[in-house]
Amino acid sequence: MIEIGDTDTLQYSPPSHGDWGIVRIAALVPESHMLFVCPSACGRHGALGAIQQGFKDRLSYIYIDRSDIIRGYAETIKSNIPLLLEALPKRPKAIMIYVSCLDDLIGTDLDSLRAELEAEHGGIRFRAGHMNPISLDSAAPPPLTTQSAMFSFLETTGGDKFGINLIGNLTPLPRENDLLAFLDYCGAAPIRHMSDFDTFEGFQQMAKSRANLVLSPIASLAAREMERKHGQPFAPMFVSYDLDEIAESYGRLAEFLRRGAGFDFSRYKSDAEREIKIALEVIGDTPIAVSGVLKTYGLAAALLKYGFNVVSVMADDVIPPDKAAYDGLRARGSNIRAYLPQRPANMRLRSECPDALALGFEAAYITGSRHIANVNGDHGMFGYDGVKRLMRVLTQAKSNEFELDQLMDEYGVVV
Amino acid sequence: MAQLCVYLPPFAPDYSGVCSALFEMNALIMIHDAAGCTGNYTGFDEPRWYGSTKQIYCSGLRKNNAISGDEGVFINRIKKALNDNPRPDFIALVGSPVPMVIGTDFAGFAAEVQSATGIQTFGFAVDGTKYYTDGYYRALKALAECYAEDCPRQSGVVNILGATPLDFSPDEYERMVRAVESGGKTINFSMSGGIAQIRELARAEINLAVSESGLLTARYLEDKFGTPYKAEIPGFLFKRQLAKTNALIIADRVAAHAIRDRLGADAAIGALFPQSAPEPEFAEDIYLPNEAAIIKEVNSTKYDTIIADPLICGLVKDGGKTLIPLGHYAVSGKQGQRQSLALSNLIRK
Repeated sequence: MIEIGDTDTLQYSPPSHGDWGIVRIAALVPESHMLFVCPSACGRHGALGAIQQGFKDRLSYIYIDRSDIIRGYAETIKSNIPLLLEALPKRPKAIMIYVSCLDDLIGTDLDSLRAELEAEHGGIRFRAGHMNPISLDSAAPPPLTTQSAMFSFLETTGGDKFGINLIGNLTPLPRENDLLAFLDYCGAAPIRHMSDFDTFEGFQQMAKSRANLVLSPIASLAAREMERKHGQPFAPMFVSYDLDEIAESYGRLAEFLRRGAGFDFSRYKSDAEREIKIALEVIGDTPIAVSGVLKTYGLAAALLKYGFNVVSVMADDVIPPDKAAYDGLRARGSNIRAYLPQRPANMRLRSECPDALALGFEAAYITGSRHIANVNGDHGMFGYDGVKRLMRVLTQAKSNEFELDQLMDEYGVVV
Repeated sequence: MAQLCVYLPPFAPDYSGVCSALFEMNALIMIHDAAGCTGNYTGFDEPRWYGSTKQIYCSGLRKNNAISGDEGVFINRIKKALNDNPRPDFIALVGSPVPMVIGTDFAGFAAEVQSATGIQTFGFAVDGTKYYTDGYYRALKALAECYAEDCPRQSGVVNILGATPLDFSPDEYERMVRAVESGGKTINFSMSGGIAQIRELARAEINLAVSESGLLTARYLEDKFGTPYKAEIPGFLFKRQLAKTNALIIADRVAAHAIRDRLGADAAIGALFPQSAPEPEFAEDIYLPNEAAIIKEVNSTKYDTIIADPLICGLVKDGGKTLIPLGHYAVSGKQGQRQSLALSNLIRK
């Protein structure tokens, strides 16, 4: 029986905990630089993660101490920007000034600072960013405010709107993805994603799109703001691995676009169904532990529906888009065990089920399995093509063994 | 004083030093933060974390908690964690930047936790603005003040102070221990010490300070018990010969001096952390308090050879200089270890 239990506990931080982190996400803005203004400690994980992933040249720090905090550090930021610009090999087009948790309590006037900096350093756009996990339980936690800050660099533009933005997904969808084919059929092209652009100027094209498709809730706040600023309506299209949900979401998308009702998905759907069948043959009754994706309970429910033997789900929380799946599993009296990886008791669960097929790093760490399907972050996943890819990853994981610490290093897990 | 840092990562902070010093002990450690500080330590400063069942937790501090200042929330969480896990010898409450800003009284907080749980509790008002060396010292000092007894000094007994993975890998540490033991000495406290060894700290005839962290602690124990100390890494051997060289060594101060002693050549020492003790042999060390000072020094024409963490070696602009990368976990974490001559190559096998 699924029972999440008490969440008001100290938090265990398993080595498998974390994801890309806001630093790597914010670095997606082309020709931008991040300046973190915080006690030195606050920047260590971001900097070492950036070194590991090869983008440390995109971020710098102003380390502050107690006296800076007491005096306020707006003037310090202003006086250090020229030094930063002198040190950088190329003048950035955009600078994000990130403050840390403590600024939530002292309230630096970052809007005024931004205006002053833009006036002083012509040609550079400045935005404030918040690396403040102290606000994780608020309506504006750091992943959402980071996406908001990133897309706030888009300037309002005149002229006709055309094309569609995909936002919230951190990596682009593969060319053969059914969503891209559907949008093409609808005449919605060009389809724009942040990763399409190497220049800040090119990135501005995203302001010209007529709508945003939001593939992850981390871009929900940005989508609302882009609607207000650029008149771009948006449609939530969060990643799902349930064939029925996928069909429904395409129905909603056709209504949103007022086009595409006649698009034939059968080829994509049958490809996905074929891969499900192959995966079932290979995986059989192998116990499966699920973690690492946006809608963890949704993925567990979908796999159960296809006939897989899901035994556990590991997620820190039941996020709103995943609530229906969670409730559904509870209502049907499922025997799946739900783990909050951060619960103190879970540190002793290592090697709980080494024969399992582990989806995501949390599941791999807690089960102790080396049959690891790297599904973290839903990268490159959407629609029927996402299901097809998922099944291939599962099949591969069943047949091969992987070193978890190596996978996490390659992925770049940062809390 | 604020400092701009463009190239290097921040070095391991004070709270990592506290946790690293206490890691091997039977303790419940609560880092009083939102998530990132704990992630810094467990993800980047603690190679022993993977596979560990040590009770190190994040308090889960949120803005409402910070504004209300209600520590009862965390006391309840600690009590629940105690119900879920084996009873620790003590509890450590470790600070971070937000508690510093709201003025958390860690001594009072610790007293409340101790009263509520019946378990000895320590509060460490570290704030993420200092280095791990300071955190290690604070941790050992607090334990010594609480537990250490003024027992008679015993010939042949030593404490190894300042040995943590932030300066030495577990493998390197093992070699260091073997070097001491093969010299006929008995080790009381070292990286793996617990409360029993802390109680008997004064039993050592000498304290071996194997790092900057250890120096601070050794100095304190000299004041408290009169125990003499030596700054040295047992079994240390630098294999490189750099004849006629003018080298700059930037490393943990004790390691840097050990390297110079064995270089057979002139070398300057660049110290990344403030001088901890008035050893005369350290008087000429060049203190490098920030990135700008490091860049200036490594690019000085005075040196033809730079021995330093690979990230610091990366700041050298002159391609003609000899670079000897020496990974320092507190600087570059596991990335540096991969790119460099590991310290294990320097310790006698």
